[in-house]
Amino acid sequence: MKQNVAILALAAALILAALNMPASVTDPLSAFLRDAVAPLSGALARAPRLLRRGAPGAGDPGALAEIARLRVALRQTQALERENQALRRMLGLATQSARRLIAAELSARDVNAWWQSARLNKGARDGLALDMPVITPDGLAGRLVRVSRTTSDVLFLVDPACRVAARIVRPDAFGIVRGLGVSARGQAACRMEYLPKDVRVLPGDDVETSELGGLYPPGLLIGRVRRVRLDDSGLYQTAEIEPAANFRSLALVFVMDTAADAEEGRP
Amino acid sequence: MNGVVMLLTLLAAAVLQHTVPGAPLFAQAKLPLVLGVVLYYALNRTPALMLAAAAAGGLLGDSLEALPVGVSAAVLILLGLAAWSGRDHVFRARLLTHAVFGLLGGAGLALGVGGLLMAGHESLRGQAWPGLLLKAAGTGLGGLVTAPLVFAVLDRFDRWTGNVAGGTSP
Repeated sequence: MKQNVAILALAAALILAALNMPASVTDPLSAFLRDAVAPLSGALARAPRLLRRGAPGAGDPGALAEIARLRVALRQTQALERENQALRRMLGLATQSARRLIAAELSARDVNAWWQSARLNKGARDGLALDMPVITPDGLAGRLVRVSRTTSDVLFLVDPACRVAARIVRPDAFGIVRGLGVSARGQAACRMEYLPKDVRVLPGDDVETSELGGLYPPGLLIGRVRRVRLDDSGLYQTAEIEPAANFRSLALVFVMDTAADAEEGRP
Repeated sequence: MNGVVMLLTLLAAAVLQHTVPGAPLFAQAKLPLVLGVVLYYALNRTPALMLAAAAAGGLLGDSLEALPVGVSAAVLILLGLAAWSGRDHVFRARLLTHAVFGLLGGAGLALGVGGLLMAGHESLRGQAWPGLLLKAAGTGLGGLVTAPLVFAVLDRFDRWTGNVAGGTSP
């Protein structure tokens, strides 16, 4: 009986201690453990990829980085054509295609069961920092939410916690894109909210990042409109978006180095 | 030697758990491998070792899975206690027992961690209950399959290192 009481008291003390550890203790501990096991997780994650060479995303990182860079540059050039010269100079759009892209492999997909996220094999020592956009050659994938010395975690665009200031290109309408998660069949989806109801949005319209949010550079392709409906309040339209990036087959992504932008104070 | 075996198996379980992708069919549910280690200690070893395994496994798992540190540890300690308190009423060496404890423990782990996360994280409060129940079902099924495997591996490891006497199962 006495032993049982002692065990219960010890368990209660451990639970209280576990739930009340200060961030000053848990953050460095967490970063240390992640860095320590990163080589092991990376090797485990690479093993199946080595078995299926030639699968999408398993190509040459340099060539894929070039494709991603050129696609971003192309979209931004198209955006530049639609805007006047003074506005372009003011926003610094002309220099954005020169942003450095840092290639990173996924060392763990679905880092946990609760957020749509993945772990990358690059971290602060490679120049990665919090909130940097993560892209694929197809379009925006998400942003960095956690960075340790040798690893970083990307929160995918399709997570309900991820919100992106966005713009539909053709009718030039602004709104907020938020993730809807991944269905049981593995289909990722997003929703664009707060679209003015008088704007005619059509299925197939391109959705890209806008300069309004501050976190992402404008002109990164998010996806395409699948269908549009009036929201419950009747004041706005809501568009269902099919993300451009294929989240289930990601193996290699590119982190956009926006550190220079942050220093200059531009989006 | 007990501590070394425990730390090595917890490390291997936590690394595998966070590296293996979740099951889309079950709302991204992951294999509860660390839970299997805790259940093994709850059913076969002293309560002090079980508490150590639950606390260390929870902290390790939370750190690797980028969850708020302490959440899994708290739930694993409770599940370990529940398993330990029931161990005299079951056939501890039976595969079926390991599978049933894995099933119930997995479901309890998902519900417990989910409940704590939803209470503390705005971004998860919008998650629908069917999603959480699906995750609990998936984690439970994962536990059903993985707990007997973890028990078998740990049992061999413990015998090989001399932590428990060889011969029959405890």
